[in-house]
Amino acid sequence: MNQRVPELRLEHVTKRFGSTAAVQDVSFCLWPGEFLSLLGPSGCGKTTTLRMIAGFVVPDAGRILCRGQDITDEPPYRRDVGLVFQNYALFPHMTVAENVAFGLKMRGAARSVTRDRVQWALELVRMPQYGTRRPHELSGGQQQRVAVARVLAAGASLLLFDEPFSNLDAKLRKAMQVELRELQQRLGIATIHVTHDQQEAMSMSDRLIVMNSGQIEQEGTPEEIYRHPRSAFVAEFMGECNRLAGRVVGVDRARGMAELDLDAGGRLLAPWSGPEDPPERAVAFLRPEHITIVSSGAGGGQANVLAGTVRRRVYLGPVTVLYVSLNDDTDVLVQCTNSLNGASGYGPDARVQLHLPPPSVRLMPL
Amino acid sequence: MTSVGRRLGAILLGSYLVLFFLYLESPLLIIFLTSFSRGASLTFPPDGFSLHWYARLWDYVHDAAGLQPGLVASAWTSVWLGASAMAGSVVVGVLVAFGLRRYRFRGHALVRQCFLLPILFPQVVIGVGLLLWFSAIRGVPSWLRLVLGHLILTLPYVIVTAGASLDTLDEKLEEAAMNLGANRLQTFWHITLPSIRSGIVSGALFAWLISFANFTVTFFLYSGEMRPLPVWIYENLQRVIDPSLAALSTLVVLLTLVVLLIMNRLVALGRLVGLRG
Ligand SMILES: Nc1ncnc2c1ncn2[C@@H]1O[C@H](COP(=O)(O)OP(=O)(O)OP(=O)(O)O)[C@@H](O)[C@H]1O
Ligand SMILES: [Mg+2]
Repeated sequence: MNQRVPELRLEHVTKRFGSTAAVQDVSFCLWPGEFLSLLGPSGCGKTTTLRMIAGFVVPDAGRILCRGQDITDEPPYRRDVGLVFQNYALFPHMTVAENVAFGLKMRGAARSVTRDRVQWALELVRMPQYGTRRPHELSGGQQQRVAVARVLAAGASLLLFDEPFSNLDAKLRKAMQVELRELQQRLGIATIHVTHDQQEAMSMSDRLIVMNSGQIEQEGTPEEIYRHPRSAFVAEFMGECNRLAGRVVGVDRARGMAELDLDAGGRLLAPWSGPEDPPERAVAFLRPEHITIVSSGAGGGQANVLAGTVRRRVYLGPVTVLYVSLNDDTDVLVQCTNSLNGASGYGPDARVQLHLPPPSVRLMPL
Repeated sequence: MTSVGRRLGAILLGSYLVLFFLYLESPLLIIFLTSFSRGASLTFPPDGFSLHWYARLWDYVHDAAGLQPGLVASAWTSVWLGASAMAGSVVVGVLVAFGLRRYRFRGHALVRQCFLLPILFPQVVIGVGLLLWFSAIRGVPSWLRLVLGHLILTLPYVIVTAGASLDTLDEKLEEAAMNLGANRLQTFWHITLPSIRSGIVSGALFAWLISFANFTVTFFLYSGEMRPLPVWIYENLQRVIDPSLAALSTLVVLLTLVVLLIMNRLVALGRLVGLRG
């Protein structure tokens, strides 16, 4: 697959503002037709990365290539990269049609070509009848559609979105996510999408890049990253995660398993396939939905079964989340799917036994 | 608080506002009333009512009984001078405001303040300074002296109003334009300028009015054949003191108000229909 030329390639790109390194040695590729999300907490350098691709920020080091061509030093107006701003940045003194025609006008396109293309772009975003409106006469979702039509009409071969849904209410956000993704797939246009919302990133993307303090933590499909986080940061950023610390008491190389003596009491077997031995102390990560309640009442002693007391029960519709206190008062989140018959019956103060299946445990150095 | 107390408060505040307004406008009011006087002396309160002095003004316009050049020529000089100062300060002021926003350097705030200093200087100082300067470099025609002198007074107003508009302009709009393929000049012309249009128009309006009404600096720079209206009025005041000058002043104030209204209307209308600049 590396025979293909990537739409976009960043090579060791670095940008610092004063003493803060906003982006540090970031390298990645965007393949044709791909929808890639840059995901990370606030201040991790997502916007800076996007602005470097659009040409508004010049990297201190590294190169940016667009279809094999070095565009690192090209001014923004000579890149065919379409940026959709968080607040849409529609020109308030122009009508919707004039906004959409702006890019063509600047490039000196013929009037008839412009008219057809504006029509085409407005139809793509299902707003052909809004051409004569002004931006302030549109709802947030409509403004966003116009912003998308505007970059498409201008002939962008690559789309960049910076937190495109943050100004929309929850319901509209879902609808726009689906709509944008469908449009992107229909046009087959490579897209980079910046967000700090992991749900949004997972539901839309072909591939994710998780960033943390200016660096790439992990890159992969949503499933790879959710199921096999490579660091504690990624594990915890990608959704609720239980964390149980303990001492490593043995390694079974043949079975690829390590055994952990948990601080909270009990033993835990976890896969370990690293070439070196696990460190003396380690942390086990485990998703709430992978834990099952095996039986109520006391007992235990087997590996990967921990006893605890339900402290709190939160009903969320499709699932119920139980907060289970272990012996040393660490809380473990357990997520149970609610069946047709109703929610799981464990209420506060119920004694439960939790089963933590070994394949779902990720062991990492403390 | 009782309703009586509230009523009393409202009445007090209302009277305060009315009194203060009267105080502010008293020079205009007095001139206005005096211009309708029947007597021949320029005194307040006026005795009687007549339109006599407006008729007299009409004579001035016709047979130029006053100084040479006459009233009409002076009025034209002032109008034209105001227009030149306005045009000059719009072109220069917008570029200065744009540059000040674009380039951030050490001492930026100080430089920005310095551009506004002429507003704070005593105008006598500016007048004398310019007079000395222009007599040192000979050969600057008198019209150019006046325009350059007035530019010093009017430029800061455009820098302030255009600068204030630029401060509220969302930089993302300019970035969006560039992202769509507009180079810097196109972005300035199609996005930046239209966005700060109201600031430019009000700056231009100020510039014209400041120039039109200026006496002090003008007094140091005018010449016999270039005698702007304020100077003409002043010099006539020294020769003939009669209410016709009050009539003239009233007309000048009215003209100023009309210009204000027209410009105000233009800006508001422009915003309403989204006229492009
Ligand atoms: N123009 C600038 N001048 C100085 N520092 C900056 C500038 N732009 C960004 N930074 C810094 O660089 C770091 C990365 O900022 P960036 O805007 O890329 O973060 P982000 O991942 O987009 O965050 P968010 O999710 O909050 O938008 C931050 O520490 C920020 O303070
Ligand atoms: Mg950001």
